[in-house]
Amino acid sequence: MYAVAFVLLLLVAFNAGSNLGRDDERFHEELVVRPLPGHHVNTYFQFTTRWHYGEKDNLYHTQLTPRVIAELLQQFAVKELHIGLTQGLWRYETWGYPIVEATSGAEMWAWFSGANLTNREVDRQWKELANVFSGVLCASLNFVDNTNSIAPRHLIRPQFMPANGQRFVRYATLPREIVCTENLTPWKKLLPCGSASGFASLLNSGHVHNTKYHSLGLKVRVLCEDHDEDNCIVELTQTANLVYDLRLFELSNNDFSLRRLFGMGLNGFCELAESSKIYVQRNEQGEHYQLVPEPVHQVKSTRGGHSVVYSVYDMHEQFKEPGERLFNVAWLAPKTENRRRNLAKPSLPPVTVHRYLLGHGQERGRIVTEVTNSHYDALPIMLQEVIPWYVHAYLHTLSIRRKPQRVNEYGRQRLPFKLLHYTPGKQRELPSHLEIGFMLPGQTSALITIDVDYLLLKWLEYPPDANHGHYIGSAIVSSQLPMGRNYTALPPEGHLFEHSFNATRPTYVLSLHTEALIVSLPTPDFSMPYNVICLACTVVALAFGPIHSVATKMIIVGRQASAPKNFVKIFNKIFRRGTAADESAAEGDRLAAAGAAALGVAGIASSRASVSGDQPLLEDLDEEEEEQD
Amino acid sequence: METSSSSPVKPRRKDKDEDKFRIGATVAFIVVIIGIGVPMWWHTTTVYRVNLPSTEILSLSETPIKTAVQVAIYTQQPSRGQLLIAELQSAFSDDEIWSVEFKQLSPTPKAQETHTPAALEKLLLEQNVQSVGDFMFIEWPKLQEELLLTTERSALMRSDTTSNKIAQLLHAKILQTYRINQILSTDERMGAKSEAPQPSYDVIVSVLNPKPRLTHAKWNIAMAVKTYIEPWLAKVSGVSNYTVRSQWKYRVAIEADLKQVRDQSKLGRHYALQESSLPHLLTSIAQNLSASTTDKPAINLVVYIPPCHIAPLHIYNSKDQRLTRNDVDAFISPPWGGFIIANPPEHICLAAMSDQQAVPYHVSTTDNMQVMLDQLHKLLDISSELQMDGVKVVDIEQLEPRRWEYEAYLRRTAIRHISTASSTLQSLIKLLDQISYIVIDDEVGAAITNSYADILAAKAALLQHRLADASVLAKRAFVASERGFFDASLLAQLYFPDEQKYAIYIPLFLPIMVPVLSSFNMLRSVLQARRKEKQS
Repeated sequence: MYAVAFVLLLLVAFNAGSNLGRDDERFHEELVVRPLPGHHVNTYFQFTTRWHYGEKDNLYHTQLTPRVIAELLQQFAVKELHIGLTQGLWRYETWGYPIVEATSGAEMWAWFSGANLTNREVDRQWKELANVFSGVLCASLNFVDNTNSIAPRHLIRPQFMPANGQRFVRYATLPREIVCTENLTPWKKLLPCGSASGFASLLNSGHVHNTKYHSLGLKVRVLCEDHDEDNCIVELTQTANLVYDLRLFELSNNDFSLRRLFGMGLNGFCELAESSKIYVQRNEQGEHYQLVPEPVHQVKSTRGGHSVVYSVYDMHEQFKEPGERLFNVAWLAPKTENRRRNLAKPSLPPVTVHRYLLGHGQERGRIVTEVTNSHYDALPIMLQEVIPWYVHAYLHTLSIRRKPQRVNEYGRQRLPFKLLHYTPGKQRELPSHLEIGFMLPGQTSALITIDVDYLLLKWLEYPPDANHGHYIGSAIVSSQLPMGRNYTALPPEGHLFEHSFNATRPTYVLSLHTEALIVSLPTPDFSMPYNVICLACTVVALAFGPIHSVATKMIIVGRQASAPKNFVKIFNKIFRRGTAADESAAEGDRLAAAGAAALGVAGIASSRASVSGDQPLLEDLDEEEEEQD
Repeated sequence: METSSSSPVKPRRKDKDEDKFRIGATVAFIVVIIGIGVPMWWHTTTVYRVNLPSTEILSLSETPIKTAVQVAIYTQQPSRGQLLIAELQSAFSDDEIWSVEFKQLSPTPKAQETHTPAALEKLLLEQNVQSVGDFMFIEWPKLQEELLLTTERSALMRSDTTSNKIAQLLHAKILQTYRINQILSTDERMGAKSEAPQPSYDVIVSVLNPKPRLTHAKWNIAMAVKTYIEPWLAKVSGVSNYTVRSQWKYRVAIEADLKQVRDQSKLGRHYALQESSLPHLLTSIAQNLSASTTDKPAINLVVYIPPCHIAPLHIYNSKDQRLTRNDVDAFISPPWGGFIIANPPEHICLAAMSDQQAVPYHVSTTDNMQVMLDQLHKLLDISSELQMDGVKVVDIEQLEPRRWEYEAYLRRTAIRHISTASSTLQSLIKLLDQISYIVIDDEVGAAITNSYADILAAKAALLQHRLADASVLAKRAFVASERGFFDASLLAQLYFPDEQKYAIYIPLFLPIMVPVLSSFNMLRSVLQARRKEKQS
């Protein structure tokens, strides 16, 4: 799908520049600030390390690239790896498209390529890889295994080189994952400067986690020359995408500044960075603001017929003179500005997507994905859906209905599939994996529905807090846009944000994530098993007692004039307490009495008991029998 | 017997007939519930355990680890050789650890013709084939020292060297008895402080440059590591495998109080790092040395380049004495690794202080790598540091460690592996006795049994004078025992202890068992009655 032009990049000569570090390794830091409609501000950090390591043996000695990444390439046949840790939902309708896509929770996919790789080997490596990054990023990626991973067929395309050999891909999401400080700290440790200086010093957890949306990303890819595995580049891109809601700052006006967003000004640039630049969008929402200090450089990028103006602050220039200070940029909204202007409805991006769940009860449901094309022309749409194994999907119920954008109700008009790939799920082993492709006519919405059944889980399979519900990960919708409106993603062959300037291409590959869903599976009362055991046992025991006595005992009706022997004994005991010497003898006596009672040979002379109560009863019995004989 | 007012109960004929069935039913109940039900319950709730050679493992420590060594002695007069051997034999006769076999080499005409000790040594080593771990004493009258240890498996001795001295040397240097005693000692205070060597290690050389803007240090660490560390590690990788990695780390500051001290240098001052704050310094650095994707233990070798505003940095002890030796400020902390302070040259810092413009410079490879190699020697515990009067050790000419030193290391690690593996297995067996819900599945069971077999084989190999085999077997036993002990499947039933086992079944078994058990009594009395009936 991508028109790959990596070779050009591979052959780009590394011109000598930085006096620190090796000549074959480059680190760049970039910050993009884009005011968004509805009093929101998007700040996007990108840290790129590119290392032309050449031979694989050089991976033993790292400088700017973290050692983990080098070890990763040595230990696994990974050629490309994406990890996203996100909290919040990106609002496509109002915010446009993000620079880097991510779904709420944790998302991870990787491409494997190498000689003699088998599917089983890739599965093993994939699990190990997830475990490694679970440790590196302190995330619960260790829950990634075959039960929630799929091998996407069409939607995820490789960005590594050379991608023409045998290759495997694995994809998994963990929508339940909560992203917090413990992920940010190790993520920052992967940077050459850590959080000590440079743009990363702005990422303080208190301020980052106050945002409406924050997403940490990590992308590793290997670019090797065709037929020459000894001439390779490893590229590590770390991104942090944040959306601030200015209304939460409780300001009288819409002014904001770096200091206000991040809690402090910028203390300089990372000494190891080749470039360290802040890009501030000046058109669209950005044109309402006045910048202080006044920017020196301005870049106008026209991409796919859509122009964006960025002001550029180069930190290397700002901090040319020695001495310590903090750098701050302020966005000032003119006082006269009508606040409502800012609220003007933004232009809708060409493709938007939503997903929800229909049906009631805990047995059946229907997953609905709605894709809207507000472009005037037809667009190709691809949808990838991962349905976890505890939800059964029925392929025969899959349908795509369409409606013109302005109409509210969906009619009976259907859209034909151009492409359908379905891997049925297997209970406790495999998720269902569905990929469909179709053409969506212009100004039209499509409603993709599939009926599902919810499964009853075993009691150990419920997570803690079982009543929270179970997640169905978000679907990915991909399309190819003919124009660049709202489109800010990096071209696949570029590695810096500035490479997206004037990067006009015939088409722009767009991929969107839908909302994740929560289904409430039938949840039992977890004390039930023990209750059932106790109840069943009691019933059995109650039944057993009478059956046992009927089968083994004979009932003989005897007549007794005086009180039963045992009563007499107890009576005697109470009143003969003082003579405790007999106590132990009486004890044995009572045991024997119980035995006798079980035999059913009751009705022994009770008057005798009062006389010779201390004698064992069984002896009495025997004597009796002897006499009778 | 008195007759009571109640009618005497006397089973009638018909009841007696029915008694048979009653007894039959009672027996059937007992058989079903006690004969079948209880064993089934027991069987279904028992924790799965493979049969282990428990008693054999527990008695492992009863047979001490004894090592056979052959020591050859060459003297010019056979009579002196015989005397020495007789004396040495008596010295080693009741040794618990060693069974030393002394062998006399009689002078051949060819040997008597040689004129240099080196030639004699070469000739003797060629004529008498030594196996791994063996040793040889060669007499050479015109020697300055009493004993001279070569880099091979031999030592030269003077004609007047006493057997006492030879025994002393054998114990201290060749066999290293005191360290073996440390390893074998069960007393924890006396016990070995260092751990048994693992089968593989990552050796990570980290260069820390906390202020890359102010310190333009350049160093081709990859090349330095390849020329110094890797070849040496390749020579000593008989026990463990080493993977060498290097990394640069920037902006990793050390967290310690530094004190400025005036001095006579051109800079006029240096900074003092207190010995007591070194542990904290390691802690602050260790967390920034980057994660790893492997689970191999790491040996960290850190080279810290202090920025000019706190350079030069020297280590001071608590009595305010500077601990710098030969211009080296370094320390090790086994098994974590070593730390070297690579102070930038004076003129660099002078330039930095005056015109604020950082000057690029190269970190000295030879200085730092020599210190690093020395640290590795100590960390891996290969060299023997002990000094003895009248004994001289030939200096190492190449990178390789001395052969006798390396073989002593092999012998020591083999013994350490055997003793660690046996104590691991023994504590596992003891744990199994104490904690009943530890599962031993087939894989772990196999690991334990294999480890046990390997321990026995390694002990036998040591006794049979096969050091190389013993080393391999002992390592295998150690790895298997560790795997058995730390396998996650041991704890599969951790959350289903015995109490729950009873709690779930007691509601069923208690009400059922009471009538069944009481019916035993009935059976007994009926049988007694029958017996009496027959007797009478």
